[in-house]
Amino acid sequence: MIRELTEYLSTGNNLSFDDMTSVMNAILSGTQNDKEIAEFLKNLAEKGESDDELLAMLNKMEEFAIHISPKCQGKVIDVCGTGGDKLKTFNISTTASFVIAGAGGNVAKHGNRSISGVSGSADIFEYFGFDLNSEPSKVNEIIEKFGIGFMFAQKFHPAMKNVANARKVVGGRTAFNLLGPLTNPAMVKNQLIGVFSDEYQERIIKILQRKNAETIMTVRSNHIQEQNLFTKKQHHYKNDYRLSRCGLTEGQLV
Amino acid sequence: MTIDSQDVGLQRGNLSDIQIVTKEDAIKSFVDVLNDTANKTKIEITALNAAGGLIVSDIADSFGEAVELALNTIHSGKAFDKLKNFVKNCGDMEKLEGVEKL
Repeated sequence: MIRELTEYLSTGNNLSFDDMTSVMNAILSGTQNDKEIAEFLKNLAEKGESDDELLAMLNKMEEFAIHISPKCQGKVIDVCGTGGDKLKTFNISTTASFVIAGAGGNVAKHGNRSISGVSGSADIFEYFGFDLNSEPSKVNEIIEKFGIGFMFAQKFHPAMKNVANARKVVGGRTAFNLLGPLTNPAMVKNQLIGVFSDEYQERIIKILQRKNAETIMTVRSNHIQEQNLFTKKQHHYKNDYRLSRCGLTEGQLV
Repeated sequence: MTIDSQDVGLQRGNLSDIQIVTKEDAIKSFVDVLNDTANKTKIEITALNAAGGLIVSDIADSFGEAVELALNTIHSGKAFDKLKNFVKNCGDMEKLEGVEKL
């Protein structure tokens, strides 16, 4: 099946929700080989994923994931990003998560190691001695007790090991980069999500609306574009990346 | 909707102020923001992002209010207390103390 669908994608066609559901089921069950999965993901990325395709993938990822349900006073949120801005900044979302928790919020942080191992959220939690392989029930308890806890993507999405090699083969961005922040194992309904493009700011909100989200804010740092803006408006900023509008373009509140 | 940092009481900074190269930089930046010793740009961009989270959490209604709350949480030591308490119970305090000494 995966070969036929890969071929279908290569001619620019979108897969139906049902076809994507079936192929994702096969992929996450570990019945497909790495080469075929890689070809499939590559063609899907080259065509550009439709909202239905992403939603079908998201549903299947959730079905294969381990979930927790922390009971906290107030809302439980996640703060994360799709990555991909290549700006090499410190991990702002993890730092902000502790500020939010310090201000009385509850953060069920979901994340992974960065490819470079430098500043992924998992790299930071691990550095301070947090056991990334903590049992889900333990993480649930930690979030309830401290208002913050970390869900290591590899622990909570064990079926994703079936696509790990294929993603390495593809090398570049695949649909999973976008889906990672949308598959919070605590099934949070309220999220702040950093994205790398205007297009995804809108699309993520649309997709999560279909998942019954409550409040989603997508943010994007604007300084690269701002540089151009300043170049036009104020020449003395020309060689200076400014965090004007600092970093934030708010999408919309659902 | 676009938020200008200056509209919510923050200053503009340079991208280079928040960039890191090594893992040590990454860890130190994280701790320094939370214990309020980082450069202003790092603290303010964290506050701005935390503000978004506080709005999503229904703890604050506007970016102005949320940024003020986020900055107060950092300046008052509450953010660092949160980290210390977390590490004390779920991690290794020696690691945190080691970073503070750097």
